Amino acid sequence: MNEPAGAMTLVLCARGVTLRGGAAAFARGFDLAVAAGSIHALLGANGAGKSTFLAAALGAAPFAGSIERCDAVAFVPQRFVPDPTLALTVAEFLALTRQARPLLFGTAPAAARSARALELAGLAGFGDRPLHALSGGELRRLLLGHALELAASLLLLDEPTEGLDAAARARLADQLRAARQRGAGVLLVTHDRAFAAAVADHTTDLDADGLP
Amino acid sequence: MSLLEQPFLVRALLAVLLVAPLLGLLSPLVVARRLAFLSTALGQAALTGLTLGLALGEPLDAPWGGTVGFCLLLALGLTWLKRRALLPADTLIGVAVAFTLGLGICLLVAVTRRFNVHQIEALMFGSLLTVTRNDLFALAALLVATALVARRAWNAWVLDSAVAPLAPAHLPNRAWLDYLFVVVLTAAIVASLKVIGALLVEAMVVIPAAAGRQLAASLRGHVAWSVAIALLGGVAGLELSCRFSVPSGGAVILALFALFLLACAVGAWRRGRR
Repeated sequence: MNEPAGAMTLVLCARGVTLRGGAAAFARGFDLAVAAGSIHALLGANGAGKSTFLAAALGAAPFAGSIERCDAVAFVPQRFVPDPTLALTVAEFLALTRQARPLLFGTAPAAARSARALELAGLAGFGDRPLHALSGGELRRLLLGHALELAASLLLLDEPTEGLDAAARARLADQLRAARQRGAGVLLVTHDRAFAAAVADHTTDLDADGLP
Repeated sequence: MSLLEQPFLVRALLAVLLVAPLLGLLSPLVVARRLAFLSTALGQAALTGLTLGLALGEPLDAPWGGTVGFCLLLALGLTWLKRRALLPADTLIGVAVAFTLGLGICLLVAVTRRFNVHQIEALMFGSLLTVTRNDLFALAALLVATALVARRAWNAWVLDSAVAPLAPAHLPNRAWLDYLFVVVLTAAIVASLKVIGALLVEAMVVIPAAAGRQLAASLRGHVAWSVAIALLGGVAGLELSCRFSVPSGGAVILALFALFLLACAVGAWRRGRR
């Protein structure tokens, strides 16, 4: 996205957005902007449209209005259950988005960056483990390490503290502040108001009717 | 009769050596993308397409216009519908299979007034005798083309299937990937018909990955096992077909099934030792 004249750089800008889920429309006509170098928390009750907004921002859910965002985006979904149909290891999972060479020929090109992602996740040495064998907390940390290592301009995090213990929450808070420091914009969808209050610069609160 | 005694058997062996890596390579993705039932539908659509082509005047030894055209139409149409319909993919494919079979049976009766049904059996069940030099060239070209496409799209296909929730952030055009995969799969299935047969081709795209999964500890290993099992099953099936004068498609599937059982046993034994 281009920088608006005389304003801060926005990495996400939603204007007059109405979300759609099935036949229902919700979160009618709301605006939201995430600036580079800031952390924005999106709060609200269940069904208010927080996760659907992230999906819309990624082009994976229908909406009316306009959403503009930068291209370099990293995303941590709320729900992610690895499919055990393919024998994917943790290193291969990380290499999928870090090398152009097909995984059939190994993961060497992505090795350094994957190791860094594992380090950020606190999972060093987990590369050879089957992805589907990770615990819920390990998986959440892996996704966060993956997203943080991408060094994207925009981080979209859906309930990132879910399943994390206190130490992992504290580390995540530090990592998000570090991401802000390097100029990334973070949009944090969460029910964890204490975590949001601790890290967020701005907050948008969708009430149960979806109205900010 | 040994595999290398007759030129037609050498051609059949070469065909298996081309078909097996092609389907073995695609097999893990077919399973991960939940397209096993679509493969069944494509096999049956090939039969319908064949009879449609014959009914429209195509020659019996090269009915590719009808076969390729109908299969592509079905695969692309189902993919388009799957992306829009509220119904699950297997329901849509079930409807398509019923329609395809109904149309195929009606057309089959119509064309067998002009052709002996045994002439069509080759494509239904696979036949060693009908593999020609041109078939081999077409298979080799398809294998190379698939390898080139897979080189570009492989990681994206895996990302879009095994870790789909993350895909929207990395793949701006997932629909295109979906269509590309079904086109590649359709081409591979149609090209394999003379070796495996329309009614049995699904097994060749499902069993190698299913067996390979029992033995693999990584995706790389999974694909390698899948290709190896497809090759082994293909060659063993060909040998069985020669020895016992049974259709090559059925013999290949029996060999693959035996390998699947063996892989399950080895996999269970390995897991028990850990």
